[in-house]
Amino acid sequence: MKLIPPRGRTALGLALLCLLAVPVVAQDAADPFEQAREAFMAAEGFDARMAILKEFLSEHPNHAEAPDVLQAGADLYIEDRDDRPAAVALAEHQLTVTTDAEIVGAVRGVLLGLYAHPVYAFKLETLVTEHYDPATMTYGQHLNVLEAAAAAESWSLVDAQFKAAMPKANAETFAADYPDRDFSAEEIEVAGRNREGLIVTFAGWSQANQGDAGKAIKMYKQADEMLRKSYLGVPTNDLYRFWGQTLLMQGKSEEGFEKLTLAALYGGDDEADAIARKGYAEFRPGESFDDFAWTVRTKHAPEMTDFSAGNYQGTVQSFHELKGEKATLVAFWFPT
Amino acid sequence: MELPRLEPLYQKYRDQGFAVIAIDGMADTDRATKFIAEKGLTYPCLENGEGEGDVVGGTFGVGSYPTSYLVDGQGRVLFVHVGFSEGDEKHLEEEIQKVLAL
Repeated sequence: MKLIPPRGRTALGLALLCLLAVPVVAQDAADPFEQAREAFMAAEGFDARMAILKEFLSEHPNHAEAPDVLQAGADLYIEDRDDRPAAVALAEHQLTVTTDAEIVGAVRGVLLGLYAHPVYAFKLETLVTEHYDPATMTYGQHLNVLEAAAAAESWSLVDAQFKAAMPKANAETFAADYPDRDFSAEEIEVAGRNREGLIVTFAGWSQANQGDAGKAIKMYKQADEMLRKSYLGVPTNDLYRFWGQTLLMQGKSEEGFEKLTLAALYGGDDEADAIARKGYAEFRPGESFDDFAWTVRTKHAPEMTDFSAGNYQGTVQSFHELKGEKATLVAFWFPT
Repeated sequence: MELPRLEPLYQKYRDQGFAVIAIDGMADTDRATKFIAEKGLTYPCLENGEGEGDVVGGTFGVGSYPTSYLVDGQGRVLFVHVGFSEGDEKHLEEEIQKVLAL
């Protein structure tokens, strides 16, 4: 049993969501993308849907939506068939038939994400070396490369990107990236610190994997102070998973499993959940990880904030009025 | 968790001190009221507001639906559930039972 069940979506759903996520204002029925989207939604099964995506990519490689369609196809291969090589082949082929410079850049971005696996470390390093100039890369591009490099376990690439990204991880670049948004000075400052925390997280993980767990922990603590936390009190990036794994490397098992559990329970990190369960079974054979997780929960559980909202009869009601004596499930939803 | 799947749990455990509160994050009144009536939901259903009344995004920072928090009698958030998969009701029921037993 997982602490947090996987999100209720299949790969087909992911691909569909990806397609549906594209802005739909001013739909043009004659637009081949709209036609493909309708056909996709009407199609059933992996083969039928993949055929529609491939046909679109083949006939319209320079269409503005081609990178999103490519991503949908890659997601289908990985999530539905667990076939990353097929996804990589699809994207590498697309790169050979795309000619529009802007679309080529976006296709490379898709490929970057697909190379985020140790098997593709060399290809990732080559792609970044040949097509991503650190002098002109944006903060967002650095972050994408850092994420891919960490997943590919390419630590030299992580370190190089961290060094190049640090001068760009601040409030000034955040404000420059959103010139039309009306952020307060405090929001900009917080966002800038969050940017720094995000890349320090990857730098710490790199240090841990290169044998310096002590330095890694120091960096995690810095990142933890800089990162924005969710309502549930944990950062929304990989920090607690990396931190937990590093503590395990140091032999600090209880602390490590605790961090991993927090990442899983309050950060929705399924990977942390899987690592914790597997590790705990080896650490304490025969003992229940769920019992351990329960103690972590009761120790770290965030306190529910009282809130008020209107019901459909026009009355404002509060959590404290409606809550159960022993247990309350607060369900955030929207009608579909 | 999908709202209709919560109704049997609500009916089963409400006498033991269990409550459900649903909040429509999109504040789509017409669709929500129709849905609630069609599905026969009997627990309190609220509607998210705007600005300072934005409970869902503002107070809790929830951006994925459905998301659920299971809160114990002391006001501690002991379980978080995001999305929906087959079999989740059973898992959720186990969590409810644990919290009711505290």
